[in-house]
Amino acid sequence: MVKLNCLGLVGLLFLIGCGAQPIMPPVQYNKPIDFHVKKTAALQWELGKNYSSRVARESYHQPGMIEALALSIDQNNNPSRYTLSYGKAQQAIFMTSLKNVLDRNQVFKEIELVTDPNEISAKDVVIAVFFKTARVASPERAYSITLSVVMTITSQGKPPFKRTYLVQNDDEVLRKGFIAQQSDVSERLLEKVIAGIEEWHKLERKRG
Amino acid sequence: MRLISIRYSVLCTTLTAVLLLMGCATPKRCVPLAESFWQNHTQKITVATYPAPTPTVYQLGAQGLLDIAITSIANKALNNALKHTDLIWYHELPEHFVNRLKGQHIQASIYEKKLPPDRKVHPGVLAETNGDLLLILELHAIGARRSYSAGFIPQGAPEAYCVLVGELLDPKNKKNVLWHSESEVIIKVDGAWDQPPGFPNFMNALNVAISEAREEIIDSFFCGR
Repeated sequence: MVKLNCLGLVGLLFLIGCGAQPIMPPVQYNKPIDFHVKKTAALQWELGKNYSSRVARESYHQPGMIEALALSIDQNNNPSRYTLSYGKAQQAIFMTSLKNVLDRNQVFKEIELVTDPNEISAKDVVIAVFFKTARVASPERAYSITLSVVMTITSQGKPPFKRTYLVQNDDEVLRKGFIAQQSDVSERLLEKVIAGIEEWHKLERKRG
Repeated sequence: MRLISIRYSVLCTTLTAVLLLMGCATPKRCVPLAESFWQNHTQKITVATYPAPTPTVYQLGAQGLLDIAITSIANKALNNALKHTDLIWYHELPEHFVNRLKGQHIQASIYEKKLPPDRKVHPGVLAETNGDLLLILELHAIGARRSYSAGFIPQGAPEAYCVLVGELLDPKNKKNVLWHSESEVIIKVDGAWDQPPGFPNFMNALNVAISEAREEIIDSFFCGR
């Protein structure tokens, strides 16, 4: 019975492993941050359009007729297994990493991550990060990831600060696999977003 | 005789499309624009475009000449509909860039003629407009994209397809690409696609693809603005 359960668990883990999409680890940011805002902040994550790419059949080995048919059925039954995307999971990791970087460097007095604008409790600053489009290119373009993000920072009684960022994979990283691509594009975006927050802070100080 | 001529022209168009797509298969290095570009308010930018390609169905997969001929006949109605794709947005794109550049206090002007399709940057282009840097926008591919297996069996419905390429060059230094970005947008058709002669659902998807590719190339150049 125990043996059967173990086998079942191994089978289940194998299936989860097969079905799971490759997901990047937390995003790294190792540059020093030397600005601090004496305000509380909410980091609001907004989902936009997500375009995935289907893994080309040619990426696998050349299958025989029966194998090709089985593969085709499996592709139809389990599309996520054959799809590459920068979806909710990757965006959640990015947003959590951004929050952690801001927290670790004490950029704000306090910061919380929210997904629902109605959830935002009384905060001095709201940083809305909207993933306008998250796109994975076709196999011919080596599944390169493009993220188009709009960041809007609003603080009480001040006009909103809005910036649009578009980041793409470096070609060097395209050969290193899809996880490396996710990390590369996320690190680029993280740098831009933090630079944007710093730019907003400088503008706020100028305004007084 | 006329039939042979039509078939030959269909074949030539398809072969051109295939070759174009093969060109797409080798993406160039993505070069983000340096922040210092925005601090230089004395430089003059000339914005130019290449002639737009004819919107067509790009066929993917290993195809022989016979397969190409068969699928081209099958795609004839869609190819005819694609010929009526509105490309005004592409011709107006340089004006949009010039206005946004001027909004950032950077001098910019449009090169009114189209660049020669030989892909060589002629020094005369900048001399005519008294520019320092050349910003090139190119509609690389537009239309539909469809994959085939076993030569002529479609793997699925055609998808709307648009590829825009942007590049900022310093002609004084031939290897100096200051910015390079490629926006490839593929959109699935919502609902039935096979609706000749106008293919309304497909055209809706193509309009989305165009709009997103246009927005992405603008966002890439004006990133952080």
